[in-house]
Amino acid sequence: MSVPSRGKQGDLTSFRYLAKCLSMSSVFKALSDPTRREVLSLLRAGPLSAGEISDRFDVSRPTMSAHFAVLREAGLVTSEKQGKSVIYQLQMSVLEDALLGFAKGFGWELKDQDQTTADTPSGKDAS
Amino acid sequence: MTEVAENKSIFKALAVPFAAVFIAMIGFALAREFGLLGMDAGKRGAAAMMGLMLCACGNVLPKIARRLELGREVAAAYASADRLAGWVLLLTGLAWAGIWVFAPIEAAPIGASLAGLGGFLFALGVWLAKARPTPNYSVPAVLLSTAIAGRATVFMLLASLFLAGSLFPIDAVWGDAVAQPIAILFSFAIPAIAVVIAVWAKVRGWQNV
Repeated sequence: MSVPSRGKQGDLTSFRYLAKCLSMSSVFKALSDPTRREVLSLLRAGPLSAGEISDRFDVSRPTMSAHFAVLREAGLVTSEKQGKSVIYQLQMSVLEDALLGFAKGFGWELKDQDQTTADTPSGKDAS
Repeated sequence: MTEVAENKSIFKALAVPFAAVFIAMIGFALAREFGLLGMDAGKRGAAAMMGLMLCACGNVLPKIARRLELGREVAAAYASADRLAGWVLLLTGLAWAGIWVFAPIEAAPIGASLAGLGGFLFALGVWLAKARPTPNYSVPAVLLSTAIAGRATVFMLLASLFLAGSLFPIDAVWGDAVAQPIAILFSFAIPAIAVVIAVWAKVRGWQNV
């Protein structure tokens, strides 16, 4: 079986290829950002509205919305509309919970093109 | 996520590991049948697979969404209980599988059963203690009133694993003569439990169980 190429970014490592096959790449991507990890930590205490979460971070609402979208896409949170607000609640399996613990413990940062493009419009690493 | 999508994602999360474990169990049975594995090795392998099924159930448990219409307080209490119970069941499954693989074959049935029973009781205690935000909430109401099909499925699988797992110590203590009729009884008991839950849900007006 040939491993798909990522073009300029080089080939995927076998571990990342396996993760992709297991639909885990979106989970790794979601957990690779400290802000998103912090959002997940906040939601451990219970469901919170988008506004309540955003108020605790010094980032713009559109940026927070992008973070919420990544978390939703990875299936780590669910959202439900209640009146005018959107309520988020945690939806992590035990293994995803363990991955979050590792990610926080070791400070995972995803440094590939996907991440930098998503986080900075220019495609350059903000750090 | 809608409830239908929610249920689909739970079934998908369970179907893959259960299918893999089921195929592995058949593999162990065939290998034993054709003499590729000894009697003990086949038994160890099949029993260890049950531990992995328990791991799969424990893993997916916290992923089942809680209904927000009961209030955020209830959802938070529920999520916290599910998360802890999920960890307990996953570790119990690993302990069960580990004991079956590594312990001496005479000690494995009792050792694994004690670990399994301990894990199930601990998980049940976690739900009874944590899955209600205030003492005013009755436990069955909180456990079942938020049931969606995904949750009901996981609980049925847990009940089946508990009953199937309990056959090992029965077999070890009382032998085949007792274990076989009980196994037949269980095969009727499990669908009967499902019917009771379905009828109860219908009477209470829960549409999605």
